[in-house]
Amino acid sequence: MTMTDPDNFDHIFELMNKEIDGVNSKKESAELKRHLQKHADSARYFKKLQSISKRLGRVKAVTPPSYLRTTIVNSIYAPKKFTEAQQSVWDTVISKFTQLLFTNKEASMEQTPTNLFTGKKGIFVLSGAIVAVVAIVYLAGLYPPADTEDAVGTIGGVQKAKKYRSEQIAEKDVVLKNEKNARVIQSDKFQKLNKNDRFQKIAKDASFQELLKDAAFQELLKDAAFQELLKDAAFQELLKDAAFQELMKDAAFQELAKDAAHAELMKDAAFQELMKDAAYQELMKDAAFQELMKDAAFAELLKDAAFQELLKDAAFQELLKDAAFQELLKDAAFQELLKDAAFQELLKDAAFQELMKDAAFQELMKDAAKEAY
Amino acid sequence: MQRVQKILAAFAYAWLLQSAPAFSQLSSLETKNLRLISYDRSHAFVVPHLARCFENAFRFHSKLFSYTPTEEVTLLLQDFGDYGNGGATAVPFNLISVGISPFHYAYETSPANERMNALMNHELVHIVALDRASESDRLFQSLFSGKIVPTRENPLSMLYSYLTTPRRYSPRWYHEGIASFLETWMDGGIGRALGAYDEMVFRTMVRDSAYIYDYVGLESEGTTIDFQVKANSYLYGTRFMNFVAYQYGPERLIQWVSRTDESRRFFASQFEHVFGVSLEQAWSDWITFERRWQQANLDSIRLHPVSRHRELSPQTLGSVSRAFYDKSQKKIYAAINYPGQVAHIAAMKIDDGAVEHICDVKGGALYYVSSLAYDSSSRVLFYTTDNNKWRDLNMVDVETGVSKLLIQDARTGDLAFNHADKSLWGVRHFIGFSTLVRIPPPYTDWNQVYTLPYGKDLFDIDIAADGKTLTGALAEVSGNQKLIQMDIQKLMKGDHSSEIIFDFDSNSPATFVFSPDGRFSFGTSYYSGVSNIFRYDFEKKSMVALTNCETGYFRPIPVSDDSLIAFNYTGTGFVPVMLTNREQEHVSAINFLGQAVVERHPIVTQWKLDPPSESSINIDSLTTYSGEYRPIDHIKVTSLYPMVEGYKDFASFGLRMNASDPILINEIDLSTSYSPNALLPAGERLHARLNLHSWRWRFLATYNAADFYDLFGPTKTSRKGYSAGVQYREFLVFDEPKTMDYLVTGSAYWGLERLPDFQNVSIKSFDRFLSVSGRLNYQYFMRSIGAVEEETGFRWQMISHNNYVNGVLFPRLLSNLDYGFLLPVSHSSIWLRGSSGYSFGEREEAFAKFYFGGFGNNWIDYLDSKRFREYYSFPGVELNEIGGTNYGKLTLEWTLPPLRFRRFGVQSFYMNWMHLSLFASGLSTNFDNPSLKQTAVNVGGQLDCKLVMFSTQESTLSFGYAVAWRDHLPSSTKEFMISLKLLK
Amino acid sequence: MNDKSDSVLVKECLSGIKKSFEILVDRYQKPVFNVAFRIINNYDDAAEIAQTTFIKAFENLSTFDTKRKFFSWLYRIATNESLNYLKARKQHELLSDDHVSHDQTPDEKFDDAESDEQLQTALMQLNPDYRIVLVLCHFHNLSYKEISSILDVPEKTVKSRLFSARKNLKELLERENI
Repeated sequence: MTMTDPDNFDHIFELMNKEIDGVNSKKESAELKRHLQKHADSARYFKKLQSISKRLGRVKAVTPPSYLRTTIVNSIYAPKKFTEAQQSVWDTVISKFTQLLFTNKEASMEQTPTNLFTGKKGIFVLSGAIVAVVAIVYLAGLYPPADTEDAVGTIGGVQKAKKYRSEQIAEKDVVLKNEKNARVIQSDKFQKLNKNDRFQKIAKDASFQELLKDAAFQELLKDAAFQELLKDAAFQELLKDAAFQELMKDAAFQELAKDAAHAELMKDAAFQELMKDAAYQELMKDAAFQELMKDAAFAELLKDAAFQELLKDAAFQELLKDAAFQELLKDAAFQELLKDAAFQELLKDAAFQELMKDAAFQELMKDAAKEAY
Repeated sequence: MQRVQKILAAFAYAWLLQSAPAFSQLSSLETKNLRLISYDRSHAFVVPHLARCFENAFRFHSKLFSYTPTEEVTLLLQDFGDYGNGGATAVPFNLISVGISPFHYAYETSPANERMNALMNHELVHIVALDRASESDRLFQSLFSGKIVPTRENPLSMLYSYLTTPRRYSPRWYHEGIASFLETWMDGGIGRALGAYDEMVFRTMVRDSAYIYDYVGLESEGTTIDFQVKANSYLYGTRFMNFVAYQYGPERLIQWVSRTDESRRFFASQFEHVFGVSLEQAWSDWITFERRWQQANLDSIRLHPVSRHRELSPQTLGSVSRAFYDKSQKKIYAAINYPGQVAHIAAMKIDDGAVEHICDVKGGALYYVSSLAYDSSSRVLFYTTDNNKWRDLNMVDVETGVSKLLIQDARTGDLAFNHADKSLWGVRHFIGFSTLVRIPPPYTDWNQVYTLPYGKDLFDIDIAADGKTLTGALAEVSGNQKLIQMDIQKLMKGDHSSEIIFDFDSNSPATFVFSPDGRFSFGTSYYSGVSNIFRYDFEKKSMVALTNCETGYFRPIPVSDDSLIAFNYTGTGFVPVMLTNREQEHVSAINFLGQAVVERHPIVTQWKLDPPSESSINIDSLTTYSGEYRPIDHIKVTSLYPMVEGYKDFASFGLRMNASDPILINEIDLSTSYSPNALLPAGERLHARLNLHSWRWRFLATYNAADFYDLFGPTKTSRKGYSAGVQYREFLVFDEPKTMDYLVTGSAYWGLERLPDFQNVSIKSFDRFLSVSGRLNYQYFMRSIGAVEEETGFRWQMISHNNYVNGVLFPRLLSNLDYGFLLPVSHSSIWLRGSSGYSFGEREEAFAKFYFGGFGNNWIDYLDSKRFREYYSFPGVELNEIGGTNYGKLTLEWTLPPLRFRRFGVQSFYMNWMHLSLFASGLSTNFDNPSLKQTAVNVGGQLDCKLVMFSTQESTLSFGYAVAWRDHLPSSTKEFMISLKLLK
Repeated sequence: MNDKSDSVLVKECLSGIKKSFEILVDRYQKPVFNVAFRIINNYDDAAEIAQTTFIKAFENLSTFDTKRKFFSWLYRIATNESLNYLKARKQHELLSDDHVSHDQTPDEKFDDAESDEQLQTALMQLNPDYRIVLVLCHFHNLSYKEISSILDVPEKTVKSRLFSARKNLKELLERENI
């Protein structure tokens, strides 16, 4: 039997094809094998068929266009249009409904469908008809309910676009150097200051740069009262004063400035008033007073509690204003008398104090003074 | 490279003009791979972080591209503009310039995440793409001692440059495309490859069946005339890269861009080598693909009813700013910028769309033009100028058009007007921070309200009519953006707490504005991938969509309860439209091509960079130096190559050497050559030229000066003899485009046989002289989008030439005045150019004269192609033929609109445009002596053709023709000129 | 990768979960497209046919007998649509080469593309009925039974057409010296 044998050709041909498709039974495979071994032309034919099959199997699948999926899915979600059948149903419903509503009553005296819509009964019938229409429309699928899954990740019906996003750089990853300082210079005040010629000049000064580094000065700058003081016009004037500048440099004054009692005195309202007093200011300028202030004994006297009480005494304050007493204080003999211990004892004596107040005795003292001088 | 050079030049001048000397000192931080230079100590806070970002990105690129740099990268940190930017070059040095300011987020064209990180990711791609060298590149670099910068003085340098850095000669879309593509994945999905604006641009093109440029036409026309100008390089480039990555895989994209030993020199050849198809075919495939892709997106949008609008103007307005509606006048006020007209503030009537010009905007920005705010009670607009530099604050009366500068260098934008107390609010950018500021009347000073932490930014602010609430968009370090509101009273007391209205995630809440009654806020977002209008209800605390747009709606203005005005994006710009204020129930999302790339090729997710944290990058341990930077200490040879020059009628062969520091403050240029021809006397065979440049100073010395272009004639600049000169230039006003500068030059010449400036004038009575000249120049020119040169403006020059010869001084004085204005036809101008001069010397002396004649162009040239505009030119007459000791000259010139070509050539060589100028001049010399007086008139024209070779090498081919009549000659004389100017 | 069977997805879709149909689209869009493409030999129109196939399947999902195989039903729609297309067009076209295959070197891509093109040219010269069985058998590895189910013809007819198709194809290729 050969391929040229028409009677057997169909059978062998079928075996060949089934062999390629892997559906021959063992017996059929063996039969084919025997035939091929005997008939070279069949073998060649089979080989070609196999080759074609393999070649067909190697054909690569074609990639569809990237937009295909989108187009298909979009079509699925598109609002449905009427199919012909649905349109027919809808038309029938409308037609019937219209007839029910608008049939001419006069045309017939029989119980026509329109009679159904008259009176109280008519209301129920009409309502029912409306409900039926709505149900038909809904079930016809003309208004499919929205798929709840469509509403996931949306603003009121807006679908959020899909975009790849990975973990991002965070604030902790941005480590800056002295960011605080950089933010400080954003201030309008700083920028105005920076443009100021005078500030630029002083900024270059080495001592100013040192001062800025000083911790105490930094604390002072924070102090609200100091900030107020800086605004004060009088203080600004004072700063310019050469004598004040000298005072600031003075070591003794610097010590005094540190003293707590001194600080308290500075805060005292009465002292502040005194400081404003013109006479006091004159006194401060007086050279003799300045000498007195340097005197150690006087410094001790000022600390004496009894003397401090005396200074508060109104009568003594009046006495100090008295011109005669001022003259007396200059008198050397009186100064000697004041040092005298017996006189100091006499001054303590209560009877002597009463005598001093006596008007007659005062007249007697005056006469004695006249006679002495 | 040109952009980086401009930045460096600006840096040099700005650094020197600093009014705060306390901060003016260059400092650097160096690692093995980096030299980070800053000129302002106030920038120091960000230096370590920037260095970390650099090292982080550098590690990534080194690995991805198997990249070893030829040298360290110099990174210049600057604050030249109120909005951040970056630029990079690798020729002659690896150099990146980084702006410290926050980005502008208009239309989401810039990323909103931390900008130093994003910039380093992007700019280093440029360095790698340009600097990565093959074995042959390295061989040539070694041979020529560096990466050659092509110079017009020696055009052979073009060839050498191509041999040393071939990838420099690829178009901008290629470089920007790959940088934007990679940056997106490195930033974890933030970037143009996933950009909604990009999708919108191409979706609109497909919808409108607009022309999509091919890759030649894009460079020729698409990056010059479109209202988006150079941004088209980013758009097309990123898009094409996305497509190639999608179709062929991102790894093969990297293979295309990498300059390996096996790669092809020219980028287009390499494309074919990697992908097996020509670039032209692939580009065509992309366009076919894009049409299908965008059609599917349009189908998506059209699933639900598309919003209908009424166009309010028959013309598109190009780029547009925030706009305001004047109900009483029925006008919209906005700043607009479109091709053919300079940026300006306009009023548009909504009834008929008529547009009235109110005032020009100097320095309009690309997308947003200017920041605007409106005081409706006084009918005054506040606006910013110099928007690409340090913004100035101005105001203009919309009725009269009279404008006034309020605060120079206010550096403030995102303006909002508080009608309650008449104060103006804005966001100020200064040394990298954003500060909310308040500017009270009379608007001459600003007050800080709140400075945001670094990395956070506030933009698009608005204030309710009652003056109680401020809203704005807040961008975080991560790039997340939220719409927030703040209480104004609290802000004034120092409480800057805010309430989040809506978290838009990675989408920008753009230009949200209050309704007049304060109940709502209207703005836009790309939430669905398309820019649609949203409305926030303050009472219900809900956000709803109002539109479903095919392209995009922007900048809404609520007009009434039922309508609003917005701007609709089209391919030629924005069109104002009227819309209904009604909720849109459903809006479908579109698909992003970048998203398809991610899904098909997840490898791009592996390109996500870890953050540049302190723990992963210890910059202290990497630092090799930190301290003062002196440019002069870092000068090195950048190139050494053979050259040929012309000396008189002979050729001369020699070498040229260039040296400079990395930021090009100091430059040395030395050339020597030898003419072997025996016809030349021995004393004239050797030639040398030395050119030194440092800051404002320039020093030039020559010996038997030769010139390449003398090989081609007829103009000869080579001269026998010696010369030495020094030049100093200083700016008195530097407020570009308005500048005033002076230039002083002192030179000495000896051993001469001809005048240095006039080749046809020989000298016999002397061979040496001294020359001192000075020039004072004031100019203010402007051009519109799509222009090929300046189109309107003014220039005045005063020039003094003083020659000292044989004990006699010959002073000459001349003045030039140019004035031009735009015609109603786009890109067409009329110019009036006047010049007059007087010489105080004896008429018989050559030095005492002015000489005129000829176009002045050489057949092969490197000087300005339009030399017919120079005072000494007079086309139609021989060079230097007309002379005189005094003169007056007037030229009327009409420049016609350029003719641009979409595609006239191939990738490696094409013509960009043709430009025709027609002129007529009159010249008269020796007014004071009727017998010697000469008068001439001419008419002529010049046609210039811009040619581009290998993407970046521009040249100009010029054709000129003129006819001249002179008073004592019976017939006219003619001149025909043809000239090829190499390199621009 | 979704592991749900086709029948489960169909049931979910019928109960209103449209997302389940999207999974079926993802699963079968490529083979459905290729069925159409190999029968009609036009890239763009094959996409149209694929789209129509899925839309029709979705719209008529309620009529699908879940006892049958979903893909058989889907392929049936696709082949019917393709045959309708051919009847309307009544012409044979050459292979369009605007598709892209992946992960091949340029040389490999060139050789295979040329070979595929030659085969497709020969295929298009076959009787459509023969072509369809060849496509379903060799390109989609379907059995006689499955093909019979798709085409709604007896298995015997499938075999007869398939074997004849191979014979004719062999002769065509020999004639063209391929």
